[in-house]
Amino acid sequence: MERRSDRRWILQIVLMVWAVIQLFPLYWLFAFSLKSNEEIFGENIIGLPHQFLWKNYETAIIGANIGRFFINSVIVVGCTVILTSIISLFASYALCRMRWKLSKVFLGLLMIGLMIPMHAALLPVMLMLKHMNLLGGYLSLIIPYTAFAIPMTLLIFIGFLSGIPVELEEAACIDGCNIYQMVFKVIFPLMKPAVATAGIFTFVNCWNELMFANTFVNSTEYKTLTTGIQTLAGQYNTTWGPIGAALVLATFPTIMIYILLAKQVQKSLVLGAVKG
Amino acid sequence: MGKLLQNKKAIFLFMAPAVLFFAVIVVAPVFLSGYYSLLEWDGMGEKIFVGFDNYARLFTDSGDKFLLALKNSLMIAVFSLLIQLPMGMLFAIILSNGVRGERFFITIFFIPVIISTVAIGQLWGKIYHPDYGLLNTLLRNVGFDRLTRAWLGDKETVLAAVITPIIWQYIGYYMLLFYSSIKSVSADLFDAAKIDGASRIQTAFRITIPLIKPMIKTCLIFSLVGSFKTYDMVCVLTDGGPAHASEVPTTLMVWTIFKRNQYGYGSAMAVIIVLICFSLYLLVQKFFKADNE
Amino acid sequence: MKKKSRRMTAVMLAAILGVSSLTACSTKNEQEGNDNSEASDGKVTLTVWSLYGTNPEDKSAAAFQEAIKEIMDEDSSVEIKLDYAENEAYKTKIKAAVAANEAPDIYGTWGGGFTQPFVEADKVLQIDDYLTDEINSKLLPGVLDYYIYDGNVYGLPTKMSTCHLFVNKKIMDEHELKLPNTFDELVEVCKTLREAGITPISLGSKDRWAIGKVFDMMGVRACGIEEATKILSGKDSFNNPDFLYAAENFNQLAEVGAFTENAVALNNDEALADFTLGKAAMFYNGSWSCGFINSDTSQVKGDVVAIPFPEMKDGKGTVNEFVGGASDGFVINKDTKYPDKAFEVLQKISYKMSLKSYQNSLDMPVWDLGDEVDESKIDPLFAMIVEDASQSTGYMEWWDTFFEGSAAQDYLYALIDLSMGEVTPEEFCETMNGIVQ
Repeated sequence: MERRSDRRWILQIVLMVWAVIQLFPLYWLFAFSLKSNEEIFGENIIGLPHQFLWKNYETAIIGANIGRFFINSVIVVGCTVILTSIISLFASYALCRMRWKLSKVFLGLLMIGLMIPMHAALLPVMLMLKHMNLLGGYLSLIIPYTAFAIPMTLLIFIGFLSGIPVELEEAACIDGCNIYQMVFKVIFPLMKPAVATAGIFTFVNCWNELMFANTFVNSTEYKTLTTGIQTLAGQYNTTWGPIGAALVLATFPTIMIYILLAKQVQKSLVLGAVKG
Repeated sequence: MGKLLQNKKAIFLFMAPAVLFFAVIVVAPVFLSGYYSLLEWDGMGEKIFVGFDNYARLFTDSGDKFLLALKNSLMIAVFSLLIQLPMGMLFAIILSNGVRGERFFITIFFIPVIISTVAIGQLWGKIYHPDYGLLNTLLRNVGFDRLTRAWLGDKETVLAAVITPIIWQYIGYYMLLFYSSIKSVSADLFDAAKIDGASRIQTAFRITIPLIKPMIKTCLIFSLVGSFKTYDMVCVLTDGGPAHASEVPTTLMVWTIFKRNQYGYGSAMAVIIVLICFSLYLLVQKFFKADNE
Repeated sequence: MKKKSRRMTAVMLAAILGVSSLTACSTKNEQEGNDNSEASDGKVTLTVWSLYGTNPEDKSAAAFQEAIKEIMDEDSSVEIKLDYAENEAYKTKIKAAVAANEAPDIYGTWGGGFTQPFVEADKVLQIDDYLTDEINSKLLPGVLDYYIYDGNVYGLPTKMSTCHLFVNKKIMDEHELKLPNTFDELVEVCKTLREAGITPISLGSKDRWAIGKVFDMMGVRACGIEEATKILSGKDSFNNPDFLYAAENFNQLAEVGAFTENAVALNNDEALADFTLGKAAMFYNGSWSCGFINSDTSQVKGDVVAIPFPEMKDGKGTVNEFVGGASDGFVINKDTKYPDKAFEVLQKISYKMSLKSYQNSLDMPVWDLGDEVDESKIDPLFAMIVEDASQSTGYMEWWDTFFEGSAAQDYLYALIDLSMGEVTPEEFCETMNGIVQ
């Protein structure tokens, strides 16, 4: 028994050490955001700033237009996450559970979206959006983001679905449910943790996406946060402090949302655990 | 039940939105890239049809470094299979087993995934800096002066120096996937194992891992495809340098298309990347199918 | 059964195609994107893209925002809509937009190789007819050179840039060194400093353009502008003894440890920080660095002088020849609905940016500014560069914009190889021959 608790302590210490490593970037980014280039590049790379340059935050908020662009990012990413989740829920059920000849082929085809290098897709996607007259607005980002997020979400959903025992659906079937009732009443509630998990990933990916955001949107009304942050860099020289400040402002909400969604994952996992 | 699952109308309705997005956004790049790859074209001027010349050039012109880039991303793939996935799995198993502070650790371990790669890249740049970098300072302090070097400026070390943060940043990603997958599997099975007196390690190998096989398959696909599509971290840390030593297919492709204005040639790279990723996908599918039988 | 599933697929595909073409029709006119529109009040709306954002700390960006505001205040009939992106991202954005015919009315670009594909694809408005004698007389001589393709003018530059050797006088005095007047003296200075454990010339060649700037200058010192231009346009070989001389001298600098150790691992900001922290004695870079060198956080504020890159003993170039010139500028989209108005705005942007860049000690003007400048507010370090530049007998374009895309990239990569000692000067010349042919 004693050895057991010894080992437990060692495990706790290892986990704590790893936690410190994982948290370090966050601390570092915060310190970085308050420094001058001279401190960032040489004098003081990891310590707290000698001189706290809170002005960097002011520069970031004005320079990167944080207020407006933040809202845009929330709208674009929020819509993308919701749209992706709904579409992928249905498709994953059809692909994973339902029986039809071409399911494997369709799954394979849809996966191509995961494999295309985004930069090569830039011009073709732009041409498609142009033909649909969608360039410039929120939709010019929501549509491609959703399209490229679907494959990843699908795979995650299928991974979860395969782990849910078929018995539940069989029971529902015997109770006289039709396919739609079964999907809505039985499957979707069970998929909550999967939706939250995939949602986190989609959120993080789209929140940090740069190239599409930079190319498809041409007015400050619709620009997103990352493009705003990027323009804080100069043509030849860059003052990095404000970029750090903007990154802090962009990162903390993401962490909040992550904690919120992770809580959801936990909660639904505990409540909805499938008794096999 | 069987009849229910063959409901064609339902299948159509369920699939239609996903396929629609696929058709509108994803199909165009595939076909257009395929078409562009047969051209000599700067992206806007005259298009000259050159057949498969671009592809031949990819594999014969050693100055263009495409083969080196493929090799580099293969290394990334190998290390993510050997280190990233197992570590993600290890943390997932430990944390799902009821450790004190489970929620806290799950949250903290995921944080590097959330922080933008631009910031993470800056941090690692500071770690590797030849003069005041953390790594060299550490080496000097423990008396290994001879080992200090410009980690990102030395052709010998640059690849390892770039792979390390890529692997590290996404451990939390796989951890979360494995963790939620383990948690969604019935707790009863684990309880049963405990009564059996199986050790933790035995439980992990006999019960946990087989049960989350579908998620393992998913993660394998992510990590393999991701390795061949790696871009951000390499771009921030080295942009493929020095002298192409840390080039990966995507950095080379971006350079070719947007810096050298060789749209056709760059598209050929894109097509090869897609082909490789797709083959890996099929391979993983096949591997798991064979395993199931 | 089989048949049915196949039909199902067919229906599905048809539906997709149908829907996608439907959306194409139905959403038309919903969004006008970049299209110009003349509002009912007769206002002309022009879209202008540049790499100047809203960062108040970035003096160039602030100057641009101010200029645009002034233009709209002066002319109430014009409404300007701005968009911007960071340097590298901007280059991607504008290339994609031009390729997809989605470019704005006026956009920022660089003369020479960068704009060449746009002109060749016939996407840029030719502006010769707008250049009246009055305008031409106010433009400084030669500033349009990089915007002339096949004898026609396609754009207006905003500013003249050039690189100088920034020297930390304090460090030089500490080591009893004189400012180098010749290349040989420079080599000696570097040797002494390196022995004293000080980085002679701070360089961050992870930003490849930064190393390009150094060699561009050395090439011009060795060959002279005329010959260098011939060589670079493929009319003379890179094996030319003068060009080889440039490569050998560059190699010599690298061998005596003149540049930052491991320069390939550092970017330009890091190199500049080394200089402003007093860790390096010299820094070869553009006039845009003055503001950083004399900023409040800099530890070398006031200690720095700017001198032209020294002459080479057997070189054909003189100390009054420069690299750089008027490359940054704007062009007009050929598809613009209001070419006349667009030119008016273009000219104002060009003039105002010239004035403001100069007044803020960033870059030199391309227009005759008359007495509009308050000389007392000019940074003394910048004033030294301006003074030297006023003696100039000629400019050669930055080589990475002189060449078009792929040659520019290959040049910079070959140069990195040379700096790392991977190739000999002879091999470097041979590689350059292969690149330009």
